[in-house]
Amino acid sequence: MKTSFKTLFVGLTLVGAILNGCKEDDPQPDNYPNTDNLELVGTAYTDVGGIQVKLWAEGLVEAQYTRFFVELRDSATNALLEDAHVELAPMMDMGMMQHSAPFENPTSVLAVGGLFPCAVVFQMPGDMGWTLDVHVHNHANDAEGEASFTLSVANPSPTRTMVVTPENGGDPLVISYVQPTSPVVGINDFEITLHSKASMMSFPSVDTYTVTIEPEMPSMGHGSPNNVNPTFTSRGHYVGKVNFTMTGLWRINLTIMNGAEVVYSTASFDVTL
Amino acid sequence: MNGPALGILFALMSFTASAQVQDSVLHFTKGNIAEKTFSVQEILVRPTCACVGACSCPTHKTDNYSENRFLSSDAILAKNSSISLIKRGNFASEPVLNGMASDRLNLTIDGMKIFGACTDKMDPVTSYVEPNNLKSVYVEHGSSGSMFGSSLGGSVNMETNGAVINAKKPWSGEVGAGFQSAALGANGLLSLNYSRKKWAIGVNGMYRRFQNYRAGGGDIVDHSQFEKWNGALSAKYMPTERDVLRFDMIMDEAYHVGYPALPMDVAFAKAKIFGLTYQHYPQKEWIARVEAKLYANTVTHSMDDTQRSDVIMHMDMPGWTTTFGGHLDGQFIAKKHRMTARLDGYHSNARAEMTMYPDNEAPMFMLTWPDVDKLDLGIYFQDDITLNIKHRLSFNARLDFVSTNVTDPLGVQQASVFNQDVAEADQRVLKNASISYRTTLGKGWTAWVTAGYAERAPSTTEQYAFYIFNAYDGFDHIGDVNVTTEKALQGSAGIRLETGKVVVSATGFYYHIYDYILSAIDSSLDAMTIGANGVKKAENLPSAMLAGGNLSVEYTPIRSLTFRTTGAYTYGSTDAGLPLPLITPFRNVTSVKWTVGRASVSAECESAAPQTRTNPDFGERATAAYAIVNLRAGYYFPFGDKRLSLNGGIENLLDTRYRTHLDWGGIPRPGINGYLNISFTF
Repeated sequence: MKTSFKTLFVGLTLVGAILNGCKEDDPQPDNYPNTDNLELVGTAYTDVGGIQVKLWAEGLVEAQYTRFFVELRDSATNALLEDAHVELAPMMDMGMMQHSAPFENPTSVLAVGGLFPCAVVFQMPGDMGWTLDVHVHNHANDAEGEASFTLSVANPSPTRTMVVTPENGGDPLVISYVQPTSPVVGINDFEITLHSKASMMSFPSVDTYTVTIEPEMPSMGHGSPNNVNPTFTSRGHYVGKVNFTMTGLWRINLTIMNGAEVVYSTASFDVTL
Repeated sequence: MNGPALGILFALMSFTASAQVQDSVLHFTKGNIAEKTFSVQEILVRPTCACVGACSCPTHKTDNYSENRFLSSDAILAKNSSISLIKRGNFASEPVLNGMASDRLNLTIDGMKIFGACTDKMDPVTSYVEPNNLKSVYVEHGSSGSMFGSSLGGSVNMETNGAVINAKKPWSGEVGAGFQSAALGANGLLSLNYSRKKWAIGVNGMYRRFQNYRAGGGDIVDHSQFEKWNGALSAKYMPTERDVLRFDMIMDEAYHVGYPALPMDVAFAKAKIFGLTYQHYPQKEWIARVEAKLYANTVTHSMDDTQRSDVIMHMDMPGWTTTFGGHLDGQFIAKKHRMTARLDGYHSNARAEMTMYPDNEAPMFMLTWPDVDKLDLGIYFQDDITLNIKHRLSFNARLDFVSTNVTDPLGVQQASVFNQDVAEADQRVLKNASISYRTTLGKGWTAWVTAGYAERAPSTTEQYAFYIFNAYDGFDHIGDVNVTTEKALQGSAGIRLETGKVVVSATGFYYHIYDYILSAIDSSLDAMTIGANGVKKAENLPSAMLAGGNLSVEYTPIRSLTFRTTGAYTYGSTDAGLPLPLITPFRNVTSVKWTVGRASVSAECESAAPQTRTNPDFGERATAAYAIVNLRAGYYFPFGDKRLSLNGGIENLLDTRYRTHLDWGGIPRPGINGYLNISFTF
């Protein structure tokens, strides 16, 4: 009974919201795109093409799977651009050598809520050396250019990304923790990404492995029941469920397999509730 | 001799005497004012007894039982041969009636529901009331005891003294001290009653301090010490001859309680118990009494591992319960019928936490009882019918509505780990009924037979436990919110012969329990506690049975000499033929007592057969047979209407190293123990 009332209430609120939205005929509220919960990493202009690029992140940029949101504006008119082709090119310049990082370009040429979501897996921290180039092709005027951001990538504690040498040989594997970012006692979505380091500049996603997880409390030696092993969803992402029975430090042990072959069996991520 | 304080003494004596004589249910009060239909009198008269079914009225003994007030309430209960004690230390044993422990019993004080706050049952309700504050104890087996709630095993209601109005003298009381050698224990007690024509105030106090006790053979049992005090206040006011207003308060605090059978001790256990009662005796022929009662109590319990050397990681385990409740009942008389109708209800909350502190890491926290609210509303009816002087019939029925829910969202999240949804309230309806027939067969012979049906709601632990470690089986326990209501068909019968010199009584019972709740190993789950054997989850066995009986013989060849022997046996089995855990083997207490004037001397032998029917999943081990010998003596000096009593004795005279089957952890009981109690009543 309680639930049905709740549903009814939510339903009515939604209907109200929709009706309101229609009536007021205001397609874009003042805070569009909404960046209230985002941090501005930097603002840059494309070398050519006259596009202002704002780079937003969900918080401090750290050596982990990092979501970015790209806001594009026409630098002359300040008009928001929502139809564009955006491509990332992260780069770490270590002086003697350079390497890139796994990344995810926006899946669509159409912005979501005015922003283009994308992501980079920074496999190492660095106060200096990291740059992120954003290549933009503005479909409105067919202009094209590249903006460059210099990043300071902090070292997260505990570790959220690791580059490991597979036990079965082959290219190094980049394993990165995605969520839970705010773990709770009970059931949590658990997500990691897998990328292989084909070369210094190429990190294709790994989409065919199987992952099993085994959470434990290191100081107690016990685990938790009813975990769901992550399975591949898209672009190197593997999503499952992890259970925490109490607060404290948990270690999620991973075993990564390619068919019947063990790829890596000693990776783990620590989570503190 | 007949002062009110002595009356109190007398009543307690009678109770304890009866507990020793009786093997079965007892309904025994002093000065049953309800029988005086048209006036309220707080006059202490010789004990009266009225019962039907598994009970009988004992012969009143003039033994000096004042030493019983130095015992603990659970020890007094255990004098009833149907009751055994689960011991985890030297303090607060858990009573077991006919093989059924506190989850299957109603343990009440003056009808008030109180719930221990310890997830490991280290604080049964009996630990919060002291014998010098007790008037009588009401033990009813099976659904015959459903006046105090739905249960399978029955009810143990401890009735407190209360202040005495209109006593012979304004001030009366008792002061006493006792010492015992096995634990270098000291007891001190004080009772005071101030009585006026229309009101009275009584206070009771008890202080105990025991050190680690010495077991038979000489070993000291570490972590068996305790210290406690108990204070009670009772105030009564009688505005008219037909109305009584009564307020009761009990405070009980125990500290540094050692539990040798457990990996942790108890830093403190505190209870605050309040009751407000109004009784009205209308001047109507068919209404004997109307009573309304409101009560509230809180229990706080905190476990402590700081006194143990082998602690891997420090942890805190506090627990709390808070209960509010009340009842409204009336007693009606119509020709051959004596009826009791009762509406009652309570709301209780139970919360227990565990926090562990690993080095250099975040504390680990969980709710072992996830803040569980329980609402219980009940209706009860009883009719005692005196068909004629030889035949009496008694019928009772009870209906309960019970709703429990988890109020802390963390508890809901925790349960989701096991795919259990505890967000919604769990609601159950419980039905209890029983019928008893009692007849006089001939000169001195009485017989009775009872049949009943009982249901009980699962306990907080059975429904909501979250990794509660049980030191007996070594498993972490997890509740199941959907565990099925336990039910039982019960039958019992008894026969009694009473002649001038011999009293023989024999009783037997059989409980067939359906959906018996017992935790079973879930090998898919990982234990939380370091070193635990695994995880058990509450489950229903299709059925289980409990059967047993008592035989008691008392022989008084001459007035000053009494031989008494009492034997009790219980057999418990699951449907698969496995023994039920924690079942007392055959137990016998045989005594001889010689009374001359003001002196009495007694010798008793307490023995038990071995228990080899053990439940391996429960981690039970077989227990050897034992026999111990106790010697006791008493004497009193009269000073006008005052009395100085001396009681002393030697328990476990042969310093036998032994344990009973219900003692946890293979911890031996105390060895040879000399004691001396002195009390002065005025």
